[in-house]
Amino acid sequence: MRGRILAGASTSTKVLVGLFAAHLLLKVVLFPYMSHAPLHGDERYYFDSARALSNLVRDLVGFGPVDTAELKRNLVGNGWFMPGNGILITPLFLVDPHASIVTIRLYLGVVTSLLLLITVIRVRHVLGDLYAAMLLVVPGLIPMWLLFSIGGWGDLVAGLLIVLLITELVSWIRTLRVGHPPSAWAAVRMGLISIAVVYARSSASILVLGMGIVVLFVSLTLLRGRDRVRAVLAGGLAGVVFLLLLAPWSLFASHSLGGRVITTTSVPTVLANTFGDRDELCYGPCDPTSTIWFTPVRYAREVARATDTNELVVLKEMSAYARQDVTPRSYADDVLMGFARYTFQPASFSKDVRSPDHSPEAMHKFILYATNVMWAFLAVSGIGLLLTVVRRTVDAQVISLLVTLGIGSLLTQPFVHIAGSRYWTSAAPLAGIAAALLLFLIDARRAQPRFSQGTWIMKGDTEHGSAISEPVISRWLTIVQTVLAAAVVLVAVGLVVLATI
Amino acid sequence: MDRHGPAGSRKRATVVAGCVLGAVLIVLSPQFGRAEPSGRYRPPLPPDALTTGCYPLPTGLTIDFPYQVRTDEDLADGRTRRLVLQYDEIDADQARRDLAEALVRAGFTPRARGDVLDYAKPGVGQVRATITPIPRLGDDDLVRGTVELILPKVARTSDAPECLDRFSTKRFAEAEQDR
Repeated sequence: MRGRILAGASTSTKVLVGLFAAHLLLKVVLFPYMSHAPLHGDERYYFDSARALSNLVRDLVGFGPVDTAELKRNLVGNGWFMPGNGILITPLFLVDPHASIVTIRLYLGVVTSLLLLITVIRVRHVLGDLYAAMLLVVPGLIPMWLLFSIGGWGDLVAGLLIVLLITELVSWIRTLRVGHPPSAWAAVRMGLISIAVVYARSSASILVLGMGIVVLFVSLTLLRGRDRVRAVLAGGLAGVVFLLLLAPWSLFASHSLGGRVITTTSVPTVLANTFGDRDELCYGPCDPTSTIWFTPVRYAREVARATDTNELVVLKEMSAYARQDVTPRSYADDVLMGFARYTFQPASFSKDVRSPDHSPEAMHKFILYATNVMWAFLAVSGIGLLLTVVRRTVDAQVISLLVTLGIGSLLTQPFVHIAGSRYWTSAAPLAGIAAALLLFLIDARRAQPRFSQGTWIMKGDTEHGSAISEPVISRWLTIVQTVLAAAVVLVAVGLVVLATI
Repeated sequence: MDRHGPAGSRKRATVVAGCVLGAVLIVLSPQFGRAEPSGRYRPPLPPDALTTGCYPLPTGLTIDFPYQVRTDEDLADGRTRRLVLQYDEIDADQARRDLAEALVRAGFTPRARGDVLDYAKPGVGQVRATITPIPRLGDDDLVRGTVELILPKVARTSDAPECLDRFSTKRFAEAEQDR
């Protein structure tokens, strides 16, 4: 049957379908390991936000009064997380308001595989078969990534959306290189994907902002006259779509918490808990018997009540007080420790998300070892690309630059936040793209390259028509990549030196 | 004519079918019942320990400046209680003056002059207060200092939920023992 369906398909299509089937199969095999696992940490928020959003839809459909108290408490909560994953899970609670944990995880498993499929199709269309296949293997077959894909956190979803954003940017820049401004539809798509990334993981705002600046800069340099104006207007349209969809969250969260919230309120507490003295966060120790996240919020609310202000003001003051003794050395130490957690324990959640009675030790070992090996490959590829200056084709240079910027901006996380062994899932798909690009570059050096002809189609040949010639563009891209690679080395060496002197 | 060919029209048909299905589910959603979020990821604002009356201050004594209670515990001597609170927005002198006036209003008389406020009232007992500014504060910090009160011990007045909530009473040592 399968043979008949794929009878007319190309080899690459067959390989891609096979890899996606392997992804699904491995997900099914791993599902029982986590299917009954009780809620872990922030999952509580994401599921509660989805429940509250489903009730909002019910209230709106029934023209009834909206339960704003429920929304404030469950959707905005402390204002830490944007409800991207909550929105993703809402359809389930619309149909099954009392969905069990197994149903929720099953639903998430289906949705994340669909998102992977959409991403792979788009990547194949824009970047080529090699990139699509690589994504299906890493992260598509990494056991821990598959477990995270049935969890409620937004990091993994953000990682796939970031790849979608990169494909949009690559197409956008190709259009500019041909000498045309991007279409309005492309602009709307860019805005939609950008805001989806931020809703899924607000810490990716830096990435989105960086990419926005790149697009604006490229539009201004590659086009002239009316086309340049139209390209800038397209960028503006993407920005308007982004801001229009950000506004409901910012306004409602600000209204709920009584202070200005743009994306998240967590930054002050996060900085204090990561780099400051936790025993001074509440101008002394915070209340015991609670978490390092909840207890400062409770205290800030008490101070806000006593002084008739809002908790966000208090949280900022608390954070500054707790960080008075941060030195360059202590900061560098903490950042390096964060990087270690970010990088070296990709499967550490596997012990926290086990179904009672459904998670044999052998499976745990498999998850641990396979994840470690596959993530090590991804991490080395990602770091490899950060340090590589691509010269081969302008298109490969553009992809290299965008992926480098993407990975670089995601790696700002340990500089501002306690890094957890969950965050790598945001960077993993981008690192997959990096791995494919490096493979392509290595292959292209061979006498008979395999990936630049024949079945494995690499996209990216564009006719030229922009205001600047391709060799000039290429020279500039080489310079920018060199500067970025040097910056990466400088930051890494700087951190180590600061931490050791 | 469909300029996108059969694949384009199939895609469009899928999108339309998806939208229709979504709309139907949305309209029907109230029929399936209402979801029940737990609300547990937002720490509630605990009632102020000194307004609940669970472990009251001596009769008539009020704290008239902005404050938050930090800890409350009975001391090992079995007769006294140590209540620590932080004062906000005012300096240490102001806190000291306000507290001294409040003690006098509540019928207490000073026992000794010194850094520590030391007052007593017949039939109630002794109250001592040590006021300490928090070091290294910025000018804008709302929280300014700490008041440590040594008071006569009182029994819990009620078993109401707020009197058993350690985040409200701030009697963490006791809660730890009860565990």
